[in-house]
Amino acid sequence: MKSWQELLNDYLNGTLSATDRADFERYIAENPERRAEFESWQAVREAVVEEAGSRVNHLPPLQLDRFDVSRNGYSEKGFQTMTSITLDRRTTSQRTAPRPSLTLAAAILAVIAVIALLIFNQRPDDQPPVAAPQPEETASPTAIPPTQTVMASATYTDDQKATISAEFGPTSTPTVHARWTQQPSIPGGTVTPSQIEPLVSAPATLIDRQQVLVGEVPKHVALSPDGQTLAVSAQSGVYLYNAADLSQQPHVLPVSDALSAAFNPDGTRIATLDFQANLQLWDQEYNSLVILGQSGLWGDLYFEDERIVSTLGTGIVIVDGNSLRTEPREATTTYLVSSPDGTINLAVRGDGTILTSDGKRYEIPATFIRQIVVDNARLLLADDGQIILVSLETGQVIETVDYGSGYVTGLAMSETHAAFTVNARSLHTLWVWNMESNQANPAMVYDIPLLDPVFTANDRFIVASDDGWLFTLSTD
Amino acid sequence: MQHDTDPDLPLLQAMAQGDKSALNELYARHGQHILSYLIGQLSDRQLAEEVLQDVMLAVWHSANRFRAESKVKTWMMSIARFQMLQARRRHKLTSVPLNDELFSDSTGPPGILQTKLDRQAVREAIRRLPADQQETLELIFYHDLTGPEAAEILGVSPGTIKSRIHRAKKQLRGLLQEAKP
Repeated sequence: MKSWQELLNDYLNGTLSATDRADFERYIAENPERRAEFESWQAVREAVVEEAGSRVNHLPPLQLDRFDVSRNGYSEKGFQTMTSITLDRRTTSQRTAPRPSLTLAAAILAVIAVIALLIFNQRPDDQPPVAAPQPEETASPTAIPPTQTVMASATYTDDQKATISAEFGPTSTPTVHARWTQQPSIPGGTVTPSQIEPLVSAPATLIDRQQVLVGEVPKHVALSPDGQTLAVSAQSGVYLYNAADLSQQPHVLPVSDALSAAFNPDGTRIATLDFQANLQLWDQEYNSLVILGQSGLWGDLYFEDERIVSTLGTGIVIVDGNSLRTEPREATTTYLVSSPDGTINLAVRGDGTILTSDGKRYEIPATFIRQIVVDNARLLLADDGQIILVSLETGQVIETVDYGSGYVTGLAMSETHAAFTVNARSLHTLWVWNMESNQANPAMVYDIPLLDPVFTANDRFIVASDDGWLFTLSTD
Repeated sequence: MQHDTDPDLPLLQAMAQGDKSALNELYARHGQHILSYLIGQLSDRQLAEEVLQDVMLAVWHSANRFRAESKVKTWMMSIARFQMLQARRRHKLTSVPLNDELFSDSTGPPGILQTKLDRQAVREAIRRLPADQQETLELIFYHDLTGPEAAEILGVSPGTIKSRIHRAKKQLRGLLQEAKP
């Protein structure tokens, strides 16, 4: 039997079962004193969550190069008494002096200076300075623009110097750098993301932008099969937007801690997944049809005819009318993905092994596959440092593009273009790859992580940022 | 204690086999919460980010030793706290004494906050609580841990957690009444 305090905590944390929750609510409704205590703690909980949640607006990438040494582990007990551990200490031992704080004005002025330089450096043919040159007669498999550097700096009365630089171009490895040399910050807080303008350059044009979420981070963006509706998963629900003008539709699917969503092939249903792995199916009128707890799904959702698969997880969910049932999948760490028409189903292992539903097996030389997307003939893989385009017919690599350092957070492919977002420490870049001319270029730099580009129509695509913006860009 | 339904367990098992995608997934699930905790305790975002890398490295190295005697999340938070304390020592940061002996076990009368509270006032009042009480409230309310789990992470008894919560309640009442115009 739980104590009142334990029940209260469980209720506040949302971990009570539906029955216990109903009992609890009935109890506090009938006991004014308990109700007052409950309301007080609810206010405290909200304040604690708000305070703690406001500290982190994006998560830095893992330094995966540090994870290759043999294990030398922790036990589950004894943390309080351990005095030494064997760990690779490169990061902390080489920690430089704390960065001096940078004023808000520093960040804004530096951005303005960068933009000004971008404008003044335009060449007579109106090509922005970071634009790619026209390809040579024969494009190499990794066509990359020549080195071009854009840099701006600003000096302030407190002798702190802020520099923003953007460097685009080829080196043997990394091919692109752009960074805040000092993190924009002000004493007592950080610059709010909306005060930083993205740098957009050829081959993309910024068509539209809307901040659709305030105070929370979009986790996933899905596009309906007709290209008309975006489903943006976030902490407080799954929000629907018109892809054409980014206006919000009146329906919000009340999914707490939503992780991802997917439309079924005819667009009449939406499946949503939350961080507790609960899967929920909604009809065209956005009525909840069924909830499946602990679905075994994780990551991005896909419909595959009457099955729902996820890129990660331990299960596959079968849709049977208005009911759902789960089945185990073969490997917990294999990515599953389906083509838009549901006819091609692939399992891709992190090491680049690809298994097709018709029994083929391909081995693609890869270090660590993070993102995959497939159309009806091609497979696009995001590996460490490179994007790989593979023919589904032959299993051969068609092209690769080096993107340098960082890791890919989102990947999309249209008939003629690919778009992918790269997250590196203090640098977040959107790349556009014109597959016809085999030109790949960084098209947008932002100080906030970018995710999930989706192609809509007319070579337009939409990309989301962690500060709740949707950007519509064109590759014309 | 078995945690067969712990959704993180398959990831840890995959990590024990050397699967980095599982590591990434675990990081995606808990990195933000751990980073928030580290920033709160270290008051230095850059250092907190570096310690976070160390935490994940330790988790990676130790995945094959995890025996599911606690939830994966609780175990990770324990590592985070240990690494945070190490970082404080290395960088000679002011440590926060968790001096429970200064307080009696008696929590006094039930500290019921009777008023409808303004959220900003509550946030201000929470910031003025002793660090050990803030840390306890945060583990329970933000990290969704139970009292025993928070006790395990902080290396104190579950009774100490209860008494910290009671004291926090009592002090919040006082601070909020103080803040009233």
